[in-house]
Amino acid sequence: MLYSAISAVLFYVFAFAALLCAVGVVAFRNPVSSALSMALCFGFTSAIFFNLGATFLGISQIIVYAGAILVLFLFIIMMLDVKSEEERGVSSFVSTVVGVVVAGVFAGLMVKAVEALPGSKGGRCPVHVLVESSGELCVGEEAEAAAQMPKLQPYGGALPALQLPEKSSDTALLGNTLFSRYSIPFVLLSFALLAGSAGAVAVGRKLRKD
Amino acid sequence: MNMSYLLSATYTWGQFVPVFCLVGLAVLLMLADAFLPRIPKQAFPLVGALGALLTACFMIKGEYANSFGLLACGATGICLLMLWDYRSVVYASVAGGESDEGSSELASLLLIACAGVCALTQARDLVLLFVSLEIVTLASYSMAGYFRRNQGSIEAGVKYLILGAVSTGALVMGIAWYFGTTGSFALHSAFVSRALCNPYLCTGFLVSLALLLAGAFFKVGAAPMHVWIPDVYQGAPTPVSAFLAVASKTAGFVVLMLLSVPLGSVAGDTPELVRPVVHGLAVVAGLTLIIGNLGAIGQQNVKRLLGYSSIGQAGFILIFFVALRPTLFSDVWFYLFVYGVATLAAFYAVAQVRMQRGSEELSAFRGMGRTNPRAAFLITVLFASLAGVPLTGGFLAKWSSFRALLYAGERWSGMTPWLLPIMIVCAAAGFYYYFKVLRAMYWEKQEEAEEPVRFSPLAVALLTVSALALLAVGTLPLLLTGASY
Repeated sequence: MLYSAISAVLFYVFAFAALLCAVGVVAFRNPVSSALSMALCFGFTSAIFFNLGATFLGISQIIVYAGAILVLFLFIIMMLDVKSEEERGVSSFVSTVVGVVVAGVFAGLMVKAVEALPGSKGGRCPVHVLVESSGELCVGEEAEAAAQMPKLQPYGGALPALQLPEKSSDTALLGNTLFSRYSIPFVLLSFALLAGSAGAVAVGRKLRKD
Repeated sequence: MNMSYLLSATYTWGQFVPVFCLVGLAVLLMLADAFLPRIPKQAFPLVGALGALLTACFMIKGEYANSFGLLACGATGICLLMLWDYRSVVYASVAGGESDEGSSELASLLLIACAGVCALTQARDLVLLFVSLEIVTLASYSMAGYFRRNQGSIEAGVKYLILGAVSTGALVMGIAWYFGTTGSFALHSAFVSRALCNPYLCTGFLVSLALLLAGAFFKVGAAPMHVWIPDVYQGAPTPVSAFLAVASKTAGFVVLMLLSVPLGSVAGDTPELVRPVVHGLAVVAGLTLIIGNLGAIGQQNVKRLLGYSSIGQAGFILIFFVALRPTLFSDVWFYLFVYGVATLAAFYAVAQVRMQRGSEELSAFRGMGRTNPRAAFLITVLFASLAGVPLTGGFLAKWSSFRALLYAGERWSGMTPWLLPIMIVCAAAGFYYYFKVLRAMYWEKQEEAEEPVRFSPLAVALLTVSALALLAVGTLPLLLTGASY
C-alpha cells in the first residue's frame, strides 16, 4: 500500500521532470544546454523504468543513451564549436499558426484517447479496470500475466508491474524474448545498423580538395 | 504474399533467404571495395544489379515466391543498372572530376534497402514491420544525400532525414498504442476486432491506427505527409530518386496492406466498426490526388514533375484501400507494376538527358522528336502510360482504380459523389502535365548549338523493353479476351 503510493507519486515527479527537460531541449538556444537537458531527460526516463521494476531497461537507458550517445553528441558539439544559435529568423505567422493547430489537434487527440480509456476518471490503471470488469483486453501472453496479477490495488500507479516468475529478473526475461521469439527481427535489425553506419561513412568521408 | 496469418506471428529463417542473400552481396561488395582496390568501381553496380535481378527471378515462382519482393528487387536491379550508366555524373558529384573514389557504397546501400523491402513483405507483426521499414529508411537517408558536392542532394538528404524521423516517431507511437490496446504486436483481425468492439479501447485503437497509417503515408507520399517528395526526388541522385519512387513506395504500400488486411476481414463481418477508418482513408486519398496532380501542373523540372506525379499516382492506389476489396493485393500489385515500369524508365531517360545536357529541366528535352525520334517515341509511350492513355498499361491500372471506387461507393455510402469528380479532374490534369514533356520534345526546337541527345545502348534496350511491356499489358487483355473496355 505504502509502496505503491510512493511509486505513484514518484512516477508523476519523474514524468513531469522528464517533460520539462524535453521542453528544455527545444527551448534552449545554446546547443550545449540543449544536449545536457536531453541527458537529464534520459535520466528521468530511466528513473521511471526503475520505478516500474524494469531495472535492465533503466540501466541500458543510462549506459547507452545518457552515457554513450549523448557524450558523443556533446563531444561533437564542442569540437565543432557550434555557437549558440544566431538570431533565429522570425518564423512567419502562417507557419506558427499551422504548427500550433497541428500540435493542438494532436494533443486533443491524445487527451481524448486517454480520457476514453477505462478507469481514467477514477485515476485507475486501465489494465486493472479491464481485467476486473471482463478480462476482455488481455489476449495472448498478456492474459497469463494479468491472471497472475494481484486482484485489487487501490493505487493504480502508472502501469501495473507484471508479476514475473520467481527468480527471474527482467534482464533474463528481455533476453529470452529477444533471442527466442524475436530472434529474426533482432538479426534483421543489424542490417539497419549496417545501412546506417555504411551510409554515415560514405556521406561523411573527407572531401578531396581539387 | 502468404495470406494466412498466424495468431502470434512466427517466422522461419527460410523465409528470409533472399534477404540474407541481398545483404550478403552488399557486404561482399563493401569488402571488395575496401580490400581489392584494383577492381574498377563501375563493376560494383553491375554486380549488384545482377544479384538483385537474380533474386527477383527466384521470387517469381517456387519456394521464395514473393510478388511485392519481386517488384522491389526488379526495381533495385534497374536502379543499379541506371547507376552504372550514370557513372560519369556519380564520379563528378562524389569525388569531383575523373576519380571514381567513394562511389561504390551507393550500390551496397541500394541492395540493403532492397533487402529491407523484401523483409517487410514477410512481416506479420509490428516488430518486424518496424525493423524492416527502418532498414529501408536508414539506407535511403544516406543515399539521398550521397552527392556531397551537390547542394540539392545535401538538402534532399537533410529534409528526408528530419521528416523521416518525424514519421518514424509517429509509427513507433502508433505501435505503442497498438500494443496497449490489443495486448499484442501481431497484425491479426482477432485483435483488431476485439479492440474496435470494446467501447473503452476503440478510441485508443483508432489513435494507434491513425499514427501507424501516418507512418505508412509518409513512405507512399500521401497527402499530409507528402511534403518531402518533390524536394527529395529533385535533389537526390537520379537512380536513388527512381528507387524511392518505386521500391520505397512499394514498401509503404506493403505496410498499408499489412494494416488493412485485418481491417478488411473485420469489415467483412461488421462494416460499421471500420467505417471511420475508411472515411479517413478516403479523405487522404482525395487530398493526395488533388495535391499531387494539381501540383504537378506548374513544374518545369522533370524529376520534380515525376515526384508530384508519384504523389498523384499514390492517390489512385489509395482508392483500392478505400474499397478494401478481396482482390486488394493483386489490384495494388498491378498498379504498382505498371507505374513502376513507366516511372523507372522515365527516370532512366531523365538520367540520360542529364548526362548530356547537364540539366533536368523540361527545356533539356527540346527538339528530341526531331533529333532522336526513337527515344522520343519510347518516352512518349512511357508518359502516355503514366497519364493513362488507352492501349497502354496505365489505362488499365487507372481503370481498375475507378472500378474500385465504384465498388467502394456501393459498400460505404456517400463516397462516390465527391471522390469520383476529384478522380476525373485529376486524371485529366495528368494528361496535361505528362504531355508537357511530349510538347517539349515534338513542338519545340532545340537551339542550334546543342548536340542532339544520344541514348546509351543499355538505355535504348531498357526503354524499349519497358515501352513494349506497357503496350503489351495494355493491349493483350483486349486481344486475349476479345472484350471491350
